[in-house]
Amino acid sequence: MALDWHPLLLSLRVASVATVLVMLFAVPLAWLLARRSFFGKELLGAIASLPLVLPPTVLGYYLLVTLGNQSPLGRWLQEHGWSLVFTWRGAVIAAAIGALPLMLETARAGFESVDIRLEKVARTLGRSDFAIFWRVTLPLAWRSIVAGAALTFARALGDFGATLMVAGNIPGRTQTMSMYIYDLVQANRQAEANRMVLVITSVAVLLLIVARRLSRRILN
Amino acid sequence: MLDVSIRKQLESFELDVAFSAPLGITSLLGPSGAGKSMTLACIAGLETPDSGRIALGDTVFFDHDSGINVATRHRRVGFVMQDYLLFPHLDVRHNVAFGLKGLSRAEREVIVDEALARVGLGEFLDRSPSDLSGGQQQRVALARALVTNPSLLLLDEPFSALDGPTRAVLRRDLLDLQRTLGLPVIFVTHDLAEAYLLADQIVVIEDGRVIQIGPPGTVVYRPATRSVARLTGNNNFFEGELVAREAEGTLIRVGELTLAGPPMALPEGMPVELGIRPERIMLLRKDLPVGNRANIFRGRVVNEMTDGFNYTLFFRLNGEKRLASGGYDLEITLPAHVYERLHVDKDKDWSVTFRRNDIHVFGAT
Repeated sequence: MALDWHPLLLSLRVASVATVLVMLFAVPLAWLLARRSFFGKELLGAIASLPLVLPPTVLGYYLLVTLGNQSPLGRWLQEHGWSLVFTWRGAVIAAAIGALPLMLETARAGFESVDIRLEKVARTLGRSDFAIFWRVTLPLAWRSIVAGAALTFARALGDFGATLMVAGNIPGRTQTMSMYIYDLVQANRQAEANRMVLVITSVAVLLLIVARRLSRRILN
Repeated sequence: MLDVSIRKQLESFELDVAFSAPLGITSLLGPSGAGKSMTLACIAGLETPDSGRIALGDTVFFDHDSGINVATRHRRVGFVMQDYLLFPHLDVRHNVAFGLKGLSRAEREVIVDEALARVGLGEFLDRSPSDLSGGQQQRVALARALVTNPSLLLLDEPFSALDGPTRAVLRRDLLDLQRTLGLPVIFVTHDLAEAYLLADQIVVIEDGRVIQIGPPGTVVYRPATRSVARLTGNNNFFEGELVAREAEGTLIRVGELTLAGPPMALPEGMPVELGIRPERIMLLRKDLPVGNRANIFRGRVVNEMTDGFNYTLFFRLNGEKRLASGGYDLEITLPAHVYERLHVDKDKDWSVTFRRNDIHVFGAT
Protein backbone atom coordinates (compact mmCIF):
# COMPACT_ATOMS: atom_id res chain seq x y z
CA MET A 1 0.00 0.00 0.00
CA ALA A 2 1.36 3.43 -0.94
CA LEU A 3 2.51 5.81 1.74
CA ASP A 4 0.23 8.71 2.55
CA TRP A 5 2.26 11.96 2.59
CA HIS A 6 -0.61 14.08 3.83
CA PRO A 7 0.22 13.53 7.52
CA LEU A 8 3.82 14.73 7.03
CA LEU A 9 2.71 17.86 5.18
CA LEU A 10 0.04 18.51 7.82
CA SER A 11 2.57 18.06 10.62
CA LEU A 12 4.97 20.50 8.95
CA ARG A 13 2.15 22.99 8.43
CA VAL A 14 0.90 22.66 12.01
CA ALA A 15 4.42 22.97 13.42
CA SER A 16 5.23 26.04 11.26
CA VAL A 17 2.07 27.93 12.17
CA ALA A 18 2.43 26.92 15.83
CA THR A 19 6.04 28.18 15.86
CA VAL A 20 5.04 31.55 14.44
CA LEU A 21 2.19 31.83 16.96
CA VAL A 22 4.46 30.89 19.85
CA MET A 23 7.10 33.41 18.79
CA LEU A 24 4.54 36.22 18.56
CA PHE A 25 3.29 35.43 22.04
CA ALA A 26 6.32 34.06 23.91
CA VAL A 27 8.99 36.57 22.81
CA PRO A 28 7.25 39.64 24.26
CA LEU A 29 6.30 37.61 27.34
CA ALA A 30 9.90 36.43 27.75
CA TRP A 31 11.07 40.04 27.53
CA LEU A 32 8.55 41.05 30.20
CA LEU A 33 9.68 38.26 32.50
CA ALA A 34 13.36 39.07 31.91
CA ARG A 35 13.22 42.85 32.13
CA ARG A 36 10.21 44.02 34.07
CA SER A 37 8.99 43.37 37.56
CA PHE A 38 5.24 43.33 38.13
CA PHE A 39 2.67 41.77 40.42
CA GLY A 40 2.12 38.07 39.73
CA LYS A 41 5.26 37.72 37.63
CA GLU A 42 6.35 34.47 39.27
CA LEU A 43 2.87 32.98 38.99
CA LEU A 44 2.64 33.94 35.34
CA GLY A 45 6.02 32.34 34.69
CA ALA A 46 4.92 29.17 36.48
CA ILE A 47 1.62 28.93 34.57
CA ALA A 48 3.41 29.47 31.28
CA SER A 49 5.79 26.60 32.11
CA LEU A 50 2.96 24.28 33.11
CA PRO A 51 2.58 22.58 29.70
CA LEU A 52 6.10 21.22 30.15
CA VAL A 53 5.21 19.26 33.28
CA LEU A 54 1.55 18.35 32.71
CA PRO A 55 0.76 15.05 30.95
CA PRO A 56 -0.14 15.92 27.33
CA THR A 57 -3.58 14.37 27.72
CA VAL A 58 -4.28 16.58 30.72
CA LEU A 59 -3.17 19.59 28.72
CA GLY A 60 -5.40 18.46 25.87
CA TYR A 61 -8.31 18.05 28.27
CA TYR A 62 -7.83 21.61 29.55
CA LEU A 63 -7.81 22.89 25.98
CA LEU A 64 -10.89 20.88 25.11
CA VAL A 65 -12.75 22.29 28.10
CA THR A 66 -11.60 25.85 27.33
CA LEU A 67 -11.99 25.81 23.57
CA GLY A 68 -14.60 23.08 23.03
CA ASN A 69 -18.09 23.72 21.75
CA GLN A 70 -19.46 23.56 25.31
CA SER A 71 -17.43 26.59 26.46
CA PRO A 72 -18.43 30.23 25.78
CA LEU A 73 -15.12 30.82 24.00
CA GLY A 74 -15.61 27.68 21.91
CA ARG A 75 -19.14 28.69 20.96
CA TRP A 76 -17.99 32.19 20.02
CA LEU A 77 -15.24 30.74 17.83
CA GLN A 78 -17.69 28.33 16.22
CA GLU A 79 -20.15 31.13 15.41
CA HIS A 80 -17.35 32.99 13.61
CA GLY A 81 -16.29 29.94 11.64
CA TRP A 82 -13.12 29.43 13.67
CA SER A 83 -14.02 26.17 15.29
CA LEU A 84 -10.93 24.56 16.79
CA VAL A 85 -12.13 21.17 17.93
CA PHE A 86 -11.47 18.43 15.38
CA THR A 87 -9.80 20.86 12.95
CA TRP A 88 -6.15 21.38 11.99
CA ARG A 89 -6.36 24.77 13.72
CA GLY A 90 -7.04 22.91 16.95
CA ALA A 91 -3.92 20.88 16.32
CA VAL A 92 -1.96 24.14 15.93
CA ILE A 93 -3.25 25.43 19.26
CA ALA A 94 -2.50 22.16 21.04
CA ALA A 95 1.02 21.97 19.60
CA ALA A 96 1.66 25.64 20.30
CA ILE A 97 0.62 25.48 23.94
CA GLY A 98 2.71 22.35 24.47
CA ALA A 99 5.81 23.98 22.96
CA LEU A 100 5.36 27.43 24.49
CA PRO A 101 7.54 26.82 27.59
CA LEU A 102 10.53 25.89 25.42
CA MET A 103 10.39 29.16 23.50
CA LEU A 104 9.66 31.14 26.63
CA GLU A 105 12.55 29.77 28.66
CA THR A 106 15.09 29.98 25.80
CA ALA A 107 14.09 33.52 24.88
CA ARG A 108 14.01 34.60 28.52
CA ALA A 109 17.55 33.29 29.03
CA GLY A 110 18.54 35.11 25.83
CA PHE A 111 17.13 38.43 27.03
CA GLU A 112 18.65 37.97 30.47
CA SER A 113 22.08 37.40 28.91
CA VAL A 114 21.98 40.86 27.31
CA ASP A 115 23.95 43.23 29.55
CA ILE A 116 21.30 45.59 30.90
CA ARG A 117 23.89 48.36 31.00
CA LEU A 118 23.92 48.33 27.18
CA GLU A 119 20.26 49.31 27.32
CA LYS A 120 21.08 52.03 29.83
CA VAL A 121 23.81 53.44 27.59
CA ALA A 122 21.33 53.42 24.71
CA ARG A 123 18.91 55.45 26.79
CA THR A 124 21.55 58.09 27.52
CA LEU A 125 22.07 58.28 23.75
CA GLY A 126 18.52 59.56 23.40
CA ARG A 127 16.80 56.40 22.23
CA SER A 128 13.26 55.33 23.18
CA ASP A 129 12.61 52.01 24.91
CA PHE A 130 10.96 50.75 21.73
CA ALA A 131 13.98 51.60 19.58
CA ILE A 132 16.31 50.05 22.17
CA PHE A 133 14.34 46.80 22.10
CA TRP A 134 14.59 46.56 18.31
CA ARG A 135 18.15 47.81 17.91
CA VAL A 136 19.93 46.46 20.97
CA THR A 137 18.05 43.85 22.99
CA LEU A 138 16.44 41.85 20.21
CA PRO A 139 19.54 41.63 17.95
CA LEU A 140 21.64 40.50 20.91
CA ALA A 141 19.09 37.90 22.00
CA TRP A 142 18.28 36.87 18.45
CA ARG A 143 20.26 33.64 18.36
CA SER A 144 18.52 32.42 21.50
CA ILE A 145 15.20 33.19 19.93
CA VAL A 146 16.09 31.30 16.77
CA ALA A 147 17.29 28.35 18.86
CA GLY A 148 14.05 28.52 20.83
CA ALA A 149 12.09 28.54 17.58
CA ALA A 150 13.90 25.40 16.40
CA LEU A 151 13.06 23.62 19.66
CA THR A 152 9.48 24.83 19.44
CA PHE A 153 9.16 23.55 15.89
CA ALA A 154 10.61 20.17 16.85
CA ARG A 155 8.34 19.87 19.85
CA ALA A 156 5.27 20.90 17.84
CA LEU A 157 6.15 18.44 15.10
CA GLY A 158 6.02 15.54 17.55
CA ASP A 159 2.98 16.41 19.63
CA PHE A 160 0.61 13.51 20.14
CA GLY A 161 -1.53 13.49 23.27
CA ALA A 162 -2.76 17.07 23.37
CA THR A 163 -3.36 17.18 19.63
CA LEU A 164 -5.29 13.93 19.78
CA MET A 165 -7.57 15.29 22.50
CA VAL A 166 -8.31 18.57 20.73
CA ALA A 167 -8.12 17.77 17.03
CA GLY A 168 -8.73 14.05 16.98
CA ASN A 169 -7.22 11.68 14.47
CA ILE A 170 -9.19 12.17 11.27
CA PRO A 171 -7.27 10.81 8.25
CA GLY A 172 -6.89 13.50 5.59
CA ARG A 173 -7.99 16.23 7.99
CA THR A 174 -6.32 16.19 11.39
CA GLN A 175 -4.13 13.12 11.21
CA THR A 176 -0.56 14.29 11.86
CA MET A 177 2.64 12.27 11.50
CA SER A 178 2.64 11.02 15.07
CA MET A 179 -0.87 9.68 14.75
CA TYR A 180 -0.32 8.22 11.30
CA ILE A 181 2.67 6.30 12.63
CA TYR A 182 0.57 5.11 15.56
CA ASP A 183 -2.14 3.91 13.18
CA LEU A 184 0.41 2.18 10.94
CA VAL A 185 1.81 0.29 13.90
CA GLN A 186 -1.67 -0.61 15.11
CA ALA A 187 -2.51 -1.91 11.64
CA ASN A 188 0.73 -3.91 11.65
CA ARG A 189 2.08 -2.04 8.59
CA GLN A 190 5.64 -2.28 9.91
CA ALA A 191 7.56 -1.32 6.74
CA GLU A 192 5.62 1.86 6.20
CA ALA A 193 5.88 2.76 9.86
CA ASN A 194 9.67 2.28 9.66
CA ARG A 195 9.97 4.66 6.73
CA MET A 196 7.82 7.31 8.39
CA VAL A 197 9.78 6.99 11.60
CA LEU A 198 13.02 7.46 9.66
CA VAL A 199 11.67 10.56 7.93
CA ILE A 200 10.53 12.23 11.12
CA THR A 201 13.72 11.25 12.95
CA SER A 202 15.80 12.89 10.22
CA VAL A 203 13.80 16.09 10.47
CA ALA A 204 14.18 16.09 14.26
CA VAL A 205 17.94 15.44 14.13
CA LEU A 206 18.38 18.23 11.61
CA LEU A 207 16.46 20.63 13.84
CA LEU A 208 18.45 19.69 16.92
CA ILE A 209 21.73 20.26 15.10
CA VAL A 210 20.55 23.71 14.01
CA ALA A 211 19.38 24.53 17.52
CA ARG A 212 22.61 23.29 19.12
CA ARG A 213 24.76 25.26 16.67
CA LEU A 214 22.85 28.44 17.30
CA SER A 215 22.92 28.11 21.07
CA ARG A 216 26.64 27.39 21.05
CA ARG A 217 27.21 30.57 19.11
CA ILE A 218 25.32 32.45 21.80
CA LEU A 219 27.65 31.09 24.44
CA ASN A 220 30.75 32.24 22.57
CA MET B 1 26.35 74.61 36.15
CA LEU B 2 24.91 71.35 37.38
CA ASP B 3 23.20 71.39 40.76
CA VAL B 4 22.62 68.10 42.52
CA SER B 5 20.91 67.62 45.85
CA ILE B 6 19.43 64.17 46.28
CA ARG B 7 18.62 61.43 48.72
CA LYS B 8 18.10 57.79 47.94
CA GLN B 9 17.77 54.82 50.27
CA LEU B 10 20.04 52.00 49.10
CA GLU B 11 20.31 48.50 50.45
CA SER B 12 23.16 49.10 52.87
CA PHE B 13 23.19 52.87 53.34
CA GLU B 14 21.45 56.08 52.42
CA LEU B 15 22.82 58.20 49.61
CA ASP B 16 22.55 61.85 50.59
CA VAL B 17 24.65 64.11 48.41
CA ALA B 18 24.60 67.77 47.42
CA PHE B 19 27.10 69.56 45.21
CA SER B 20 27.39 71.87 42.23
CA ALA B 21 29.52 71.22 39.18
CA PRO B 22 30.49 74.29 37.14
CA LEU B 23 32.05 74.20 33.69
CA GLY B 24 35.24 72.22 33.91
CA ILE B 25 36.02 68.89 35.44
CA THR B 26 34.53 67.76 38.72
CA SER B 27 35.75 64.53 40.24
CA LEU B 28 33.64 62.41 42.55
CA LEU B 29 36.32 60.82 44.70
CA GLY B 30 35.76 58.08 47.23
CA PRO B 31 36.23 54.42 48.02
CA SER B 32 34.31 51.70 46.17
CA GLY B 33 30.71 51.42 47.25
CA ALA B 34 30.53 55.00 48.49
CA GLY B 35 27.65 55.90 46.19
CA LYS B 36 29.59 57.65 43.43
CA SER B 37 28.27 55.58 40.54
CA MET B 38 24.75 55.71 41.92
CA THR B 39 25.04 59.51 41.96
CA LEU B 40 25.98 59.48 38.26
CA ALA B 41 23.08 57.12 37.50
CA CYS B 42 20.68 59.54 39.21
CA ILE B 43 22.06 62.49 37.22
CA ALA B 44 21.58 60.52 34.01
CA GLY B 45 18.07 59.51 35.05
CA LEU B 46 18.88 55.80 35.07
CA GLU B 47 17.99 55.72 38.75
CA THR B 48 15.38 57.82 40.52
CA PRO B 49 16.22 59.50 43.84
CA ASP B 50 13.71 59.31 46.67
CA SER B 51 13.79 63.06 47.06
CA GLY B 52 15.72 66.15 46.06
CA ARG B 53 16.49 68.06 42.91
CA ILE B 54 18.83 67.83 39.92
CA ALA B 55 19.12 70.76 37.51
CA LEU B 56 21.48 71.75 34.75
CA GLY B 57 21.33 75.54 34.53
CA ASP B 58 17.66 76.39 34.01
CA THR B 59 16.76 72.87 32.93
CA VAL B 60 15.30 70.81 35.75
CA PHE B 61 16.04 67.08 35.32
CA PHE B 62 14.45 65.96 38.54
CA ASP B 63 12.47 67.72 41.23
CA HIS B 64 10.70 65.50 43.69
CA ASP B 65 8.58 68.31 45.13
CA SER B 66 7.12 69.38 41.78
CA GLY B 67 7.01 65.84 40.40
CA ILE B 68 9.46 66.48 37.55
CA ASN B 69 11.46 63.50 36.34
CA VAL B 70 12.76 63.99 32.80
CA ALA B 71 13.35 60.70 30.97
CA THR B 72 16.98 59.78 30.41
CA ARG B 73 16.68 60.10 26.66
CA HIS B 74 15.58 63.73 26.95
CA ARG B 75 18.32 64.81 29.37
CA ARG B 76 21.10 65.01 26.76
CA VAL B 77 23.66 63.61 29.14
CA GLY B 78 26.71 61.89 27.65
CA PHE B 79 27.61 58.90 29.79
CA VAL B 80 30.74 56.79 29.38
CA MET B 81 30.29 53.86 31.73
CA GLN B 82 32.81 51.49 33.20
CA ASP B 83 33.85 48.85 30.61
CA TYR B 84 32.72 51.36 27.90
CA LEU B 85 29.83 49.08 26.88
CA LEU B 86 30.08 49.36 23.11
CA PHE B 87 27.26 47.52 21.34
CA PRO B 88 28.91 44.20 20.49
CA HIS B 89 26.70 43.53 17.44
CA LEU B 90 27.51 46.86 15.78
CA ASP B 91 30.75 48.01 14.17
CA VAL B 92 32.48 51.19 15.28
CA ARG B 93 30.61 53.32 12.72
CA HIS B 94 27.20 52.16 13.88
CA ASN B 95 28.15 52.38 17.53
CA VAL B 96 29.05 56.03 17.13
CA ALA B 97 26.00 56.74 14.96
CA PHE B 98 23.64 55.08 17.45
CA GLY B 99 22.50 58.31 19.07
CA LEU B 100 21.97 60.21 15.79
CA LYS B 101 18.33 60.52 14.83
CA GLY B 102 16.46 62.18 11.97
CA LEU B 103 19.48 62.70 9.75
CA SER B 104 20.22 61.51 6.26
CA ARG B 105 22.79 58.80 5.80
CA ALA B 106 25.25 61.30 4.34
CA GLU B 107 24.83 63.69 7.25
CA ARG B 108 25.33 60.87 9.74
CA GLU B 109 28.50 59.78 8.00
CA VAL B 110 30.00 63.27 8.14
CA ILE B 111 29.30 63.53 11.87
CA VAL B 112 30.61 60.04 12.64
CA ASP B 113 33.78 60.59 10.61
CA GLU B 114 34.41 63.86 12.37
CA ALA B 115 33.81 62.39 15.83
CA LEU B 116 36.14 59.45 15.21
CA ALA B 117 38.80 61.72 13.73
CA ARG B 118 38.59 63.84 16.87
CA VAL B 119 39.44 60.84 19.05
CA GLY B 120 42.08 59.66 16.58
CA LEU B 121 40.28 56.54 15.32
CA GLY B 122 39.47 57.61 11.76
CA GLU B 123 40.51 54.29 10.19
CA PHE B 124 38.59 52.06 12.58
CA LEU B 125 35.11 52.62 11.13
CA ASP B 126 34.45 49.04 10.09
CA ARG B 127 36.04 47.31 13.06
CA SER B 128 34.06 45.31 15.54
CA PRO B 129 34.35 46.44 19.18
CA SER B 130 35.91 43.10 20.11
CA ASP B 131 38.86 43.92 17.81
CA LEU B 132 39.68 47.10 19.70
CA SER B 133 42.00 47.60 22.66
CA GLY B 134 40.62 48.97 25.92
CA GLY B 135 41.88 52.45 25.16
CA GLN B 136 40.35 52.39 21.68
CA GLN B 137 37.03 51.17 23.08
CA GLN B 138 37.05 54.03 25.53
CA ARG B 139 37.63 56.52 22.71
CA VAL B 140 34.79 55.06 20.66
CA ALA B 141 32.50 55.23 23.71
CA LEU B 142 33.50 58.86 24.15
CA ALA B 143 32.87 59.64 20.47
CA ARG B 144 29.51 57.87 20.68
CA ALA B 145 28.51 60.05 23.63
CA LEU B 146 29.79 63.28 22.06
CA VAL B 147 27.97 63.05 18.71
CA THR B 148 24.68 63.58 20.52
CA ASN B 149 25.90 67.05 21.59
CA PRO B 150 25.42 66.42 25.29
CA SER B 151 25.12 69.34 27.66
CA LEU B 152 26.87 67.35 30.37
CA LEU B 153 29.43 64.56 30.28
CA LEU B 154 29.56 61.79 32.88
CA LEU B 155 32.50 59.37 33.08
CA ASP B 156 32.46 56.40 35.45
CA GLU B 157 35.99 55.20 36.28
CA PRO B 158 37.03 55.95 32.70
CA PHE B 159 40.69 55.07 33.12
CA SER B 160 40.75 52.30 35.70
CA ALA B 161 40.81 49.39 33.25
CA LEU B 162 43.66 50.78 31.12
CA ASP B 163 47.40 50.21 31.27
CA GLY B 164 49.62 53.03 32.52
CA PRO B 165 50.84 54.61 29.24
CA THR B 166 47.36 54.47 27.63
CA ARG B 167 45.88 55.97 30.75
CA ALA B 168 48.35 58.87 30.64
CA VAL B 169 47.52 59.62 26.99
CA LEU B 170 43.77 59.44 27.51
CA ARG B 171 43.92 61.64 30.61
CA ARG B 172 45.75 64.29 28.63
CA ASP B 173 43.21 63.95 25.82
CA LEU B 174 40.37 64.45 28.27
CA LEU B 175 41.92 67.70 29.47
CA ASP B 176 42.27 68.93 25.86
CA LEU B 177 38.74 67.84 25.05
CA GLN B 178 37.28 69.56 28.08
CA ARG B 179 38.81 72.87 26.95
CA THR B 180 37.16 72.64 23.53
CA LEU B 181 33.81 71.31 24.73
CA GLY B 182 32.93 73.90 27.34
CA LEU B 183 30.55 71.75 29.37
CA PRO B 184 30.57 70.33 32.86
CA VAL B 185 32.39 67.01 33.03
CA ILE B 186 31.86 64.79 36.05
CA PHE B 187 34.05 61.79 36.49
CA VAL B 188 34.08 59.17 39.17
CA THR B 189 37.34 57.80 40.51
CA HIS B 190 38.81 56.24 43.62
CA ASP B 191 42.29 57.39 42.61
CA LEU B 192 43.37 60.60 44.29
CA ALA B 193 46.31 61.13 41.93
CA GLU B 194 43.91 60.98 38.99
CA ALA B 195 41.46 63.38 40.61
CA TYR B 196 44.29 65.76 41.50
CA LEU B 197 45.65 65.63 37.96
CA LEU B 198 42.39 66.20 36.10
CA ALA B 199 39.86 67.89 38.31
CA ASP B 200 39.15 71.55 38.84
CA GLN B 201 37.01 70.53 41.78
CA ILE B 202 36.97 67.40 43.90
CA VAL B 203 33.84 66.16 45.68
CA VAL B 204 34.82 63.59 48.29
CA ILE B 205 32.07 61.03 48.91
CA GLU B 206 32.08 58.40 51.61
CA ASP B 207 29.27 56.15 52.84
CA GLY B 208 26.80 58.06 50.71
CA ARG B 209 27.70 61.52 52.07
CA VAL B 210 29.72 64.39 50.67
CA ILE B 211 32.45 64.99 53.20
CA GLN B 212 34.37 67.68 51.38
CA ILE B 213 34.14 69.84 48.27
CA GLY B 214 37.01 71.94 47.05
CA PRO B 215 39.87 72.43 44.61
CA PRO B 216 42.41 69.58 44.61
CA GLY B 217 44.97 71.53 46.67
CA THR B 218 42.49 72.15 49.45
CA VAL B 219 41.34 68.55 49.60
CA VAL B 220 44.92 67.32 49.90
CA TYR B 221 46.34 69.98 52.23
CA ARG B 222 43.21 70.98 54.16
CA PRO B 223 41.26 67.70 54.36
CA ALA B 224 37.98 68.07 56.21
CA THR B 225 38.20 64.79 58.06
CA ARG B 226 40.63 62.08 58.87
CA SER B 227 39.05 59.79 56.26
CA VAL B 228 39.57 62.39 53.52
CA ALA B 229 43.16 62.75 54.66
CA ARG B 230 43.61 59.01 54.56
CA LEU B 231 42.12 58.91 51.07
CA THR B 232 44.71 61.48 50.02
CA GLY B 233 47.59 59.38 51.32
CA ASN B 234 48.09 60.74 54.81
CA ASN B 235 48.54 58.22 57.61
CA ASN B 236 50.03 60.39 60.37
CA PHE B 237 47.21 61.24 62.75
CA PHE B 238 47.44 62.32 66.37
CA GLU B 239 45.07 63.32 69.12
CA GLY B 240 46.25 66.31 71.13
CA GLU B 241 45.29 69.37 73.09
CA LEU B 242 45.89 73.02 72.35
CA VAL B 243 47.81 74.15 75.41
CA ALA B 244 49.08 77.63 74.62
CA ARG B 245 49.56 80.34 72.05
CA GLU B 246 52.82 81.94 71.05
CA ALA B 247 54.00 84.55 68.60
CA GLU B 248 54.07 82.40 65.46
CA GLY B 249 51.31 79.97 66.31
CA THR B 250 50.25 77.54 68.98
CA LEU B 251 51.60 74.81 71.20
CA ILE B 252 49.92 71.45 71.00
CA ARG B 253 50.47 68.65 73.46
CA VAL B 254 50.46 65.13 72.09
CA GLY B 255 51.05 62.55 74.81
CA GLU B 256 54.04 63.85 76.72
CA LEU B 257 55.45 65.78 73.78
CA THR B 258 54.73 69.34 72.77
CA LEU B 259 54.53 70.34 69.13
CA ALA B 260 54.78 73.82 67.65
CA GLY B 261 51.46 74.11 65.81
CA PRO B 262 49.96 76.52 63.29
CA PRO B 263 47.97 79.60 64.29
CA MET B 264 44.32 78.75 64.89
CA ALA B 265 41.24 80.30 66.35
CA LEU B 266 40.40 77.53 68.82
CA PRO B 267 40.38 78.19 72.59
CA GLU B 268 43.17 76.88 74.83
CA GLY B 269 42.45 73.50 76.40
CA MET B 270 40.59 72.38 73.30
CA PRO B 271 41.18 68.78 72.18
CA VAL B 272 42.38 68.70 68.57
CA GLU B 273 43.05 66.13 65.90
CA LEU B 274 46.21 66.56 63.81
CA GLY B 275 47.51 65.25 60.55
CA ILE B 276 51.03 65.60 59.12
CA ARG B 277 51.52 64.62 55.50
CA PRO B 278 54.34 62.07 55.12
CA GLU B 279 56.14 64.01 52.38
CA ARG B 280 56.20 67.12 54.57
CA ILE B 281 58.46 65.49 57.16
CA MET B 282 62.16 66.07 56.47
CA LEU B 283 65.28 64.20 57.52
CA LEU B 284 67.85 66.68 58.86
CA ARG B 285 71.19 66.56 57.11
CA LYS B 286 73.95 65.72 59.54
CA ASP B 287 76.58 67.93 57.85
CA LEU B 288 74.57 71.14 58.25
CA PRO B 289 73.68 73.12 61.36
CA VAL B 290 70.15 72.51 62.61
CA GLY B 291 69.41 76.22 62.88
CA ASN B 292 66.37 77.63 64.58
CA ARG B 293 63.80 74.93 63.94
CA ALA B 294 60.78 73.77 65.86
CA ASN B 295 59.55 70.18 66.01
CA ILE B 296 62.82 68.25 65.91
CA PHE B 297 62.67 64.61 66.96
CA ARG B 298 65.42 62.03 67.21
CA GLY B 299 64.68 58.48 66.27
CA ARG B 300 65.31 55.53 64.03
CA VAL B 301 63.98 54.14 60.75
CA VAL B 302 62.51 50.80 61.85
CA ASN B 303 60.98 49.76 58.55
CA GLU B 304 60.78 50.98 54.96
CA MET B 305 59.34 50.23 51.57
CA THR B 306 59.57 51.69 48.08
CA ASP B 307 57.59 51.77 44.84
CA GLY B 308 60.79 52.55 42.94
CA PHE B 309 60.21 56.31 42.89
CA ASN B 310 59.64 57.14 46.53
CA TYR B 311 60.58 55.57 49.82
CA THR B 312 58.19 55.26 52.72
CA LEU B 313 60.09 55.24 56.03
CA PHE B 314 58.52 54.14 59.32
CA PHE B 315 60.17 56.26 61.98
CA ARG B 316 60.20 55.50 65.70
CA LEU B 317 61.13 58.20 68.21
CA ASN B 318 63.91 57.48 70.68
CA GLY B 319 63.08 57.30 74.38
CA GLU B 320 59.88 56.98 76.33
CA LYS B 321 58.10 60.06 75.02
CA ARG B 322 56.29 59.03 71.90
CA LEU B 323 53.73 60.48 69.53
CA ALA B 324 52.06 57.14 68.93
CA SER B 325 51.85 53.88 70.81
CA GLY B 326 52.54 51.43 67.96
CA GLY B 327 55.80 50.20 66.47
CA TYR B 328 56.48 53.56 64.86
CA ASP B 329 55.47 57.20 65.32
CA LEU B 330 55.72 58.79 61.88
CA GLU B 331 55.38 57.72 58.28
CA ILE B 332 57.79 59.67 56.10
CA THR B 333 57.91 59.79 52.30
CA LEU B 334 61.21 60.52 50.61
CA PRO B 335 61.99 60.78 46.87
CA ALA B 336 64.42 58.06 45.77
CA HIS B 337 67.21 60.49 44.89
CA VAL B 338 67.09 62.03 48.37
CA TYR B 339 67.09 58.60 49.98
CA GLU B 340 70.18 57.69 47.97
CA ARG B 341 72.04 60.94 48.58
CA LEU B 342 71.49 60.68 52.33
CA HIS B 343 72.47 56.97 52.31
CA VAL B 344 69.43 56.06 54.36
CA ASP B 345 70.03 52.46 53.26
CA LYS B 346 73.10 52.34 55.55
CA ASP B 347 72.26 54.90 58.20
CA LYS B 348 69.00 54.46 60.13
CA ASP B 349 69.45 56.99 62.94
CA TRP B 350 68.10 60.42 62.11
CA SER B 351 66.60 63.59 63.36
CA VAL B 352 63.41 64.58 61.62
CA THR B 353 61.49 67.82 61.53
CA PHE B 354 58.35 69.38 60.14
CA ARG B 355 57.25 72.99 59.94
CA ARG B 356 54.46 74.13 62.22
CA ASN B 357 52.35 75.13 59.23
CA ASP B 358 52.59 71.61 57.87
CA ILE B 359 50.56 70.37 60.81
CA HIS B 360 46.95 70.23 59.69
CA VAL B 361 44.40 70.57 62.46
CA PHE B 362 41.06 69.03 61.44
CA GLY B 363 38.11 71.32 61.79
CA ALA B 364 40.21 74.41 62.52
CA THR B 365 40.47 75.52 58.87
